[in-house]
Amino acid sequence: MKALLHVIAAGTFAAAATLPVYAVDHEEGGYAGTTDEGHDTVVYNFLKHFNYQQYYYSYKHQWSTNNNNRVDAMDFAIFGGHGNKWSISGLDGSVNLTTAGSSSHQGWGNIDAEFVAFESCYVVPSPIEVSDWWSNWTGGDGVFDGLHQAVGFHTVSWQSTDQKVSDYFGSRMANGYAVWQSWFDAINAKGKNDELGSAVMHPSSDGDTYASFVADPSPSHTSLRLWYQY
Amino acid sequence: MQSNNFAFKKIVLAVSGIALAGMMSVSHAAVEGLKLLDSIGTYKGELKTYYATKPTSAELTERNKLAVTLARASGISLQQDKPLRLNETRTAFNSAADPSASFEVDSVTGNFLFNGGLLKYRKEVSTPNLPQDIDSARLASELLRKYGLTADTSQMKIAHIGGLNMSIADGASGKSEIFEKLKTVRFSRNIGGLPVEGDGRIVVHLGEAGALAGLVYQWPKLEKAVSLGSTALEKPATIRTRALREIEAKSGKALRAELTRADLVLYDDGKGVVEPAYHFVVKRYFDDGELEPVMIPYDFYVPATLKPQAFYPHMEVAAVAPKDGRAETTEPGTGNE
Repeated sequence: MKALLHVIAAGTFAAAATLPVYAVDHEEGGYAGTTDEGHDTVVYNFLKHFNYQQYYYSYKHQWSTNNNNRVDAMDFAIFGGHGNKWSISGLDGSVNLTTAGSSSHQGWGNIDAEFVAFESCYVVPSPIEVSDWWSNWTGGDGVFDGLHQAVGFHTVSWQSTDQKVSDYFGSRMANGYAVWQSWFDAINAKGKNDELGSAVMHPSSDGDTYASFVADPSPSHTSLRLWYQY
Repeated sequence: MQSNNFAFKKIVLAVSGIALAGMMSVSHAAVEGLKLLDSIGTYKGELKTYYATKPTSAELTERNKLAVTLARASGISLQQDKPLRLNETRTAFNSAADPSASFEVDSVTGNFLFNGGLLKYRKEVSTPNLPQDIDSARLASELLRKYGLTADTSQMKIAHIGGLNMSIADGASGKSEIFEKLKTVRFSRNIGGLPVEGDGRIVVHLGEAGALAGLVYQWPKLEKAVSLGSTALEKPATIRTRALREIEAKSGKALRAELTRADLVLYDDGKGVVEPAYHFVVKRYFDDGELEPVMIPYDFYVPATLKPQAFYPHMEVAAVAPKDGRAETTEPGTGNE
């Protein structure tokens, strides 16, 4: 009997050590903001850890007027491309994230989205850059309409490290780790010393993992928590 | 006369063509700082490619023992009977009680990451007795010694002292508060006067009273080094040409651009190779609809060797291309989960 248990234990170890990449898998979408700067690789390096649903070059409608069929149809959306404070650039121009929730599709989370990651410069500002870091995310036009967490940078993010950050982060998500905490671990392990992460969220979702997360926050909430490296 | 006129027209057209060609190469003319490219090939020291010593099974066992020690010190327990595979060479142990806690080790380099768990920092208070910046580097060094992580201090340089904060806000009150949670010290590596870029680093997170809260140790043993004679190195002119081509290609759409770095470094690929390469940084300014153009940096490496051994970022290409994305088709997911 003991021998059998040993065999089973050894088998369990081997199986665990060679887990398929889809250990945790819901619906994932990736959106690349350029065609010639490697952002497809940045996005793909996250998606490859999942049996993903969407993988597009990024256009404005995906984040705004058609988000119910794109970003908000996914549980986890990742953007790789150029950014600015509350702004991302796709192939047809910039999306203003302070008003992206103003269409009939509202913001993100009223349909499905829980988590969004911005592998881009500056998109998630911290109190270091702006005194009011929160108002633009919520309210009638904001994108937090049930969204749990948005992770990104409040500084630059470098081309030479972006694809490593997204790869590492994807492997953590697929293994059920906590979300924003893994984003920061990925930056600590792969980013340069001037790349500093930030993560904005409803306070109740602070402990979310991609395997297990709390009920959606109310779309009308204005309460936010921000974690940021400095 | 007619033929003379024709010849004159041809000359005018040719001159115009040259002028037009000059005007069309706007990106070249618009990039400032290209003088930095002149420094390529001027380094006089000996260049080497370094190879990480693969840890023995005994050394990996020691890493696992260290995981237990660090976890105990942080008040967490790791599920060492349930290893997770993060990639081909990286194995992790997580915690059932705190999904942010982790210990993970790379079997090729011995590099590891420890996160002592952030669940205990969720309360809306600052961490008691958090070290001051001025004490943080010393405390970080002491912790490394305490846990037997004796990196060659002559190669260690303080790259950054910072930390982790939490801020909260309620739109109704219009106010926010900031809570200090961790201090962070990052050490970079320097070998023979050249900075190590890429994965190489030690990052120490300090919590209450300077206790270890987390650690990134990417400092492989580099016991094998191969000297690179002039025949093993790429010609400076070739590196310059490659760099210029990339700079121009990525700056063409910018309002203006400036090359701010063209430095010889050692690139640590995180897979066991550390070798000489040139690191280029271009600051590009784009019109983003704001009053001031937004600066979007771009950086890349060009190997200094004829036969690169390291795996550079530009060598990684997505296995699948994204779909077009323009069409606003209906593509709902399966609903809220």
